[in-house]
Amino acid sequence: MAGSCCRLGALQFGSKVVETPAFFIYNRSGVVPHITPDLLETLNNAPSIVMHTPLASILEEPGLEKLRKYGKGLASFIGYKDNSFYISASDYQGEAMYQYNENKSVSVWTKTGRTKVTADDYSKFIEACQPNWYQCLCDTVPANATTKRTRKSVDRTLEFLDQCLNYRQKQGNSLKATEIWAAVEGGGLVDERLRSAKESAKRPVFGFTLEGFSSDQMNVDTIFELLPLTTQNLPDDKPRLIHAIGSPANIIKAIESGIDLFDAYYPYNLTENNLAMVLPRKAIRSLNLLPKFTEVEEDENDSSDEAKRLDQSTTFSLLNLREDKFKEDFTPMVRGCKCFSCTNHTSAYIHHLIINKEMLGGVLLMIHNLFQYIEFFDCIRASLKNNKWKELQALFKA
Amino acid sequence: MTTSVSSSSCSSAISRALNFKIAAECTTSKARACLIGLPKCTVESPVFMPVGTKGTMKGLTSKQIEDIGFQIILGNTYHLGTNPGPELMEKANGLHDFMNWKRSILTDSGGYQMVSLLELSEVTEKGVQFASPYSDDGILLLTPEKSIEIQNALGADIIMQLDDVVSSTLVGPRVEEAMHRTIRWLDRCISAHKNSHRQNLFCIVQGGLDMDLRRKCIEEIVKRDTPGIAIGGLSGGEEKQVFWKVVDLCTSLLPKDKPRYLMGVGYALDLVVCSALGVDMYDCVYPTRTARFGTALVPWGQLRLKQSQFSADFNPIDKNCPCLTCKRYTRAYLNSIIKQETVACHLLSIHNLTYQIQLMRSIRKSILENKFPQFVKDFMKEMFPDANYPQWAIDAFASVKIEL
Repeated sequence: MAGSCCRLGALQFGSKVVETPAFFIYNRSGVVPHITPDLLETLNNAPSIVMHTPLASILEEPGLEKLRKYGKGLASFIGYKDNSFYISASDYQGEAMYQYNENKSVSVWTKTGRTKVTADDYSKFIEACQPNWYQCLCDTVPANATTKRTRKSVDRTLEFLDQCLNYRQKQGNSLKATEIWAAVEGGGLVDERLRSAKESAKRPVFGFTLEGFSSDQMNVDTIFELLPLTTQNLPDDKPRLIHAIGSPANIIKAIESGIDLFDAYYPYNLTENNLAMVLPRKAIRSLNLLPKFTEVEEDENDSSDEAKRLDQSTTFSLLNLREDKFKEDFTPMVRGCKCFSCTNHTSAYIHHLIINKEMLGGVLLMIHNLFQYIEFFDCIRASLKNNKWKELQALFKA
Repeated sequence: MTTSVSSSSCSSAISRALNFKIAAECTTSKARACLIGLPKCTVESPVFMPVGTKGTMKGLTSKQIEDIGFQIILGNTYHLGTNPGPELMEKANGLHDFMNWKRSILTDSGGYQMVSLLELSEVTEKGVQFASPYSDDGILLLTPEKSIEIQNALGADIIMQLDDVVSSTLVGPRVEEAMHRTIRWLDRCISAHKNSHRQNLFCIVQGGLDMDLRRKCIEEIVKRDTPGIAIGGLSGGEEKQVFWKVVDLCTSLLPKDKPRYLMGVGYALDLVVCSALGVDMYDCVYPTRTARFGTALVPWGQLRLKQSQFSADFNPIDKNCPCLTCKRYTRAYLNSIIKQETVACHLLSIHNLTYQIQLMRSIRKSILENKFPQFVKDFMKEMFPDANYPQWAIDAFASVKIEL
């Protein structure tokens, strides 16, 4: 590990290794939106994919009783028993309703409404799930919460952490195969952030999640002021995970601020808006970062779609597949992209699916976006290894 | 009304665009297992064609459909003819390339969709005229020529004539009128067809539930010597006892050396009965549509997975099913995601289509091994464990010497 920022690392679980920086694949109730397991397997790093399931999507359905009855853990129940997975207590999909949290419990919002979850409830639920990792129960406030409320959130979260750790101790072997991550709180207050970081660091946790840094909760300048200050007070030899930071430019800044792991809400968000991610392949090739990017592409001199090609070459960009210009474009969305969608289908077809509200449109976009996101992280790690960080950064300015 | 037989361009082209072989015939019933050699792919029959309406099988990729094992799928001319339209399809090199499906495709004429989806304005000798929000004068006219033009652009291995479709429960002179018009429209379709060397134009037998009309229609229609023949105007809510008798009459009268396609039929029992009566090809939206409503098809009926009885059922849908859904997931899990995630629809579609193809393969295999009657008995026992067999099925099987 390189120190407190721009770190290269590796997470090991069983026989699998995930090199960091990396991201976990977001799923809801065990479903990666749009994607059936056979399609997930077309992604490059399929065997070492870590699934991220937020608590809210599984608390009610399947729920504790059903999982206990099933007896084989959540991974098997959701059809991914060969993958590792992480359960977060927080979920950035809905409005964060922190006002409902109490000293002894956090409110989790499910389809039918609100459920109060204590640390013990949560620990029991985790026992039935048997994930590889889980976040401790946490009370997260946005940056504009009052000082008093922010302090309370730090106190409560530390209390929840201690209760979760206590449960692990008492229960002997039942949670032995799982690892717990602390949640660093503190809203927009430097002092509270430092306090939360330092106190959490004293506990025997596997890693640290940085909470309250989504763009809904904090403005972007504050995020990147507070983040490095916070991570500097966390031990170097433990991983740091952040939710709800996903655009390439922000990921790069977050890595500079000492973060190792992210979630995959961003590719999903793009897909829901009919957008396809485009990594600047030509520019990346010229940095000599990855062998696969040095392939010579066919038809380099083909002058059709000139504007599209140029866009793709030098800067990170997004394509909106709803746009009319794709109606008769019988080339793949991104030339040179080896994802299932780009090797099998054309922009025109995907455009047709989107205009006609066909489910397959979302499927093909999602595969592409996840694939590109994986390649993006490959580039990140390669650029850190080969001292090309600054050059990579220049390609992904916000 | 007499109509002239169209030029013989059809018959000389038959040997090039469709190659038909009977691989085996059941020595008891009228069932047969055939090989239908088409431009893109040889299709083994009896065959069920899943419906990929707008150039997609509702959320499944072409590769997933291919992996399940389908050799031929159906595309809808009405939908694809309006969106994205024939000009774009020509630029795309046809529907195969557009959706990246390398095997065979059959397109329908567009007539049925228009009847079921749009407000019917008028059927004239010219064609079917509909009120449409999409055209400048508020009118959409589908003529035999227009239908063939679109289907030529789509480039399917098999294309269908535009027929005058009437509800199967309709009686009276309209039925006869529709039957005669269908034949006249067939001739216009044949004249308009530009690609008989690589696209097979099938005719459609009409005549409602009237045996005489059906007979007359077949007599005329076989003179046109099309590469294959469809039986239309059924599966629309008519009584089952009449349904099978009409199918039986048609298969008895139609030439043996051409494929017979029964349109719109897809329930398991109907597939087995009609195969016993000598039908080779089928299509239906049922398996994929019912998947989207949370229903899984199984050899002993159906599972409505939304029901609470499945919420803690940790068995797969069917422990004998090789599909990915049954290999990975339990009924309980599917029950939990069914109303919220589109992936649940995909998983159920994969299962239901696998069920359909397994059924057709079993039918075919039993015919090849000359064990079809036993297959029928086993199938019925599994589908109706209390032996409460529907009378119409008993009668239909008995008519081809299969006693349950």
